[in-house]
Amino acid sequence: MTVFESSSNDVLGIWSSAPVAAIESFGLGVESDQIDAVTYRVRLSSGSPDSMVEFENTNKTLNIIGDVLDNVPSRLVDLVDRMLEKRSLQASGISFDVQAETMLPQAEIELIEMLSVLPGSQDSEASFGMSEMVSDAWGVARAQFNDLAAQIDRDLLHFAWVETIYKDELLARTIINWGGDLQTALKSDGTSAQVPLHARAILSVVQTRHLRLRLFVTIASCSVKVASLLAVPGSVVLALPAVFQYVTKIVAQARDLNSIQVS
Amino acid sequence: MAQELFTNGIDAETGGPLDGEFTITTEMIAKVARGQKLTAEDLKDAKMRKAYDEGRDSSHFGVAEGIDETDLAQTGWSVIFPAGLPARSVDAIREALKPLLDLRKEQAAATNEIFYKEVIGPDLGYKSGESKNDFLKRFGRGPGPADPEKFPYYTLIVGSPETIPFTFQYQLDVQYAVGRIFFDKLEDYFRYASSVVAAENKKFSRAKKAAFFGVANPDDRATNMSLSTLIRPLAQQMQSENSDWAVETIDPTKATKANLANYLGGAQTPALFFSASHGMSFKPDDPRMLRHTGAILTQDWPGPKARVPVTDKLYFSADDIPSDADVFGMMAFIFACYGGGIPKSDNFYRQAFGTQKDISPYAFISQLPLKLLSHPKGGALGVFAHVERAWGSSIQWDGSVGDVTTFDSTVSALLNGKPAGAATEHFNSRYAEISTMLTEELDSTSPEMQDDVKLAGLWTSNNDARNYTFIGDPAVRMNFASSETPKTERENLGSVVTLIPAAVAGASAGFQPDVTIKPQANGVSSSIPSANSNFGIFDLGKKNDTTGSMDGTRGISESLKNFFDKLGNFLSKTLDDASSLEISTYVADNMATVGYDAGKFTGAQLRAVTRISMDGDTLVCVPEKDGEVDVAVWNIHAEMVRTAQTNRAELMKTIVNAAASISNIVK
Repeated sequence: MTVFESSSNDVLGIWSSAPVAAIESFGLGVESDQIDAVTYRVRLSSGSPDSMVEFENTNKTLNIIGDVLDNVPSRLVDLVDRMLEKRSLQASGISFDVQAETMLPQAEIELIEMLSVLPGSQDSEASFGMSEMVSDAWGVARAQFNDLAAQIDRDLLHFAWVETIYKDELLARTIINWGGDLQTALKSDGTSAQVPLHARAILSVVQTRHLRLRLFVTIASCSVKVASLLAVPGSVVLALPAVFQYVTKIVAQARDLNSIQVS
Repeated sequence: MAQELFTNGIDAETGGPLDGEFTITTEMIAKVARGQKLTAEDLKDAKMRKAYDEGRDSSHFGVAEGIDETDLAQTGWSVIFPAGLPARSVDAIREALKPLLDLRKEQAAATNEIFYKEVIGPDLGYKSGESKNDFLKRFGRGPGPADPEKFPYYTLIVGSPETIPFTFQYQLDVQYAVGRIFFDKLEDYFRYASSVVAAENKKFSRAKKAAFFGVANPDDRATNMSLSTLIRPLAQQMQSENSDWAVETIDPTKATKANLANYLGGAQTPALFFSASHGMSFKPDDPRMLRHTGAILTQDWPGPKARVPVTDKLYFSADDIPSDADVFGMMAFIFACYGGGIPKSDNFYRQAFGTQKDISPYAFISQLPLKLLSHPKGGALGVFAHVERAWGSSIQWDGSVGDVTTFDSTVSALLNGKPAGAATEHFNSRYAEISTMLTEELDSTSPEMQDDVKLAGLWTSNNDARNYTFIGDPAVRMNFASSETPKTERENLGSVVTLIPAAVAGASAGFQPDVTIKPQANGVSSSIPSANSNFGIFDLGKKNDTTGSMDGTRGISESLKNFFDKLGNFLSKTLDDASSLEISTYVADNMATVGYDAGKFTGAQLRAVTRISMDGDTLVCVPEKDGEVDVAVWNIHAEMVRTAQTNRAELMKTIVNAAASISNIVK
């Protein structure tokens, strides 16, 4: 089975987090703290045809995630429109009466629940004591969004290393910058059948980085939409963790559904 | 009437001059000069220097009378470490510098062992905040010429300018011959030390060749002035005084980045390289700052009127020195803003406006000279360069008089075999003379009667002369002869720097180069500026403001907006900068030995390169084997090219979509 590892967390769920020590053991010749780049490693245990199938599956998952990100904004706009319509029909402020919305998908329900604890979404006088509003779920979502922001920053600022291991031996290593320039070192006795596998590994990494950026931007733009439901300053920022949770949940659902179908 | 002054520095983001926020005028500088608070020690030094001027030949600064400054056994030699450097790091650096320390000890202590001094450790080393006079006092010395029995004349500072400040170096350098090195990697100390020793002991030499690299960017007064007032006359003077030297002046049309590579490690590398150009500067949060500050802005830059962001295609930095560069044994003089380094705060801004303006996360030495010194094929002997801004008035006195005497004297001193630290005495003399003039001008006239232009000229020239430094061991001498040691033999001699002792290699893993932990340096991402890496926007839940979280969320929202502004700009610039795509393929027998340094793989052979430009022009370097195209490697490389092209197409789509979303967010 092909294993996809990364030295940093992957919010898309494609790359599993690998121990740093393992990645540093490849005698990079330069101290790892000098190049603060993420390392992606693909471990192939089987031959070319099987590995290609696995790459195809990964590619398919990434495409599905891309489709989700394409559709999430419109899905969220629908929700926001419904909520605003309800508000206009009600005398007081927005109601996040969850019970009335049980026909909504689970992700939407959870989003509404998270938003309901924020100021501006309640009938009572707005309170600006933010710290009292933060629940555990909020804390987790906030921390995860911070991680994503840091990852985006890291992706944009730094190179990425892509390594392909075949039967526990390093086949190739590529350094790739955000603009797509490639430098690749290959094992001299690597066969031409194996090189396309490394090329697919590079493609997977590039798709992952791009999708991560799209995820981030989608969350931000969706937060702008959701912010219209909150009548307080800084509502976009307040909405971010909730929207992060919402979008990543939908992504995870789509990814898991695909893996079930594939298997 | 206030006159505008100009400096040799360019802001990478705007493509305009440094201090684009305001125009520096003589009036402003004159005010600064009047407001300058000289310390008691500055005054003491100035009066001492003045007395020396009146009583003696003003060029005879430095070592005491009767001592031959070319003989280390008479002048002594010392090395200074920061007192706070951990013992383990001190030991590691000493081990790495051992070849040089042993050589200098042998030379300096030949007749008197006290003439060799290691100023190391918590008691002896440089203590944080010490002035030059406080430091020398500990060795029984005060202001005045160097007395090697108290403290050696030649002094090598080993430490960052954060721990041993530039100002200490300037002050000490007035009477002593001072140089500095500071590397982040232990191996670089060894490479430099063994390069110097190999150059001296093995008696290898470079041909008597000098190259004067004169950039003159379109519509740019500073570089056009430095070409006409410094480069050309200096080159002519050197040629006329040294007919046995081949002195080349590189015409501006050839002063390009590509051609510069020929003179800094390529086929035309001379024994002495002299350049005059703008030096690059960056905003403190720009990831290029730490590696590219002071880089030489070449003729490729279209000039200030173009107002285009400056990418790394327009300047020559440490990253552009290839792994096989032949810089062993050369010496360089880089006249450019920040060519030697940059302080943390802008001295002029602080004095002029009374507030601190940080121009760097911390003070550091520019990477280009350090890369030359620590090259893995054998390092250069040293680099003369300018810390902070270089003012145009340093080569054109009083706005009209071109004056290259100081530079010419320094070059002549080097050609006459003087060690580098002694050769810079001419700059020290100039500094002392101007400093005295400035003091006298301020003391003798009232503000109403002072000439702003004259005062401004004195102030900038004073700082300028002060800020020339030598990066390297001040005791090194130029290495030349009528016939050049053949390149292969030079390469063999230079290869000694790769024989890193086990003790040095073993200590490198845990090596801490400095006393303090510096702010995290961002990696360099080719030519692309970065989004703000420090968001600080998600401290939700923190009660860190007393006015209520409303202000807090407003501040956070502003940060978020700023972040997306910058992200949008970053992505736009990515599109602009994606004018070419480069794919390189290396092959190695043993992947475990493959490393990565200075933008290239090491321990692997580069077999194929493809560069595709936006307009479709393609440059291909095809792998060859036994006179034929190596089809196997070529097919592999072609696969990589296809991958890169697919990636690039994906990137364009991603950027376009993201940019559209971001513009809505920012609105």
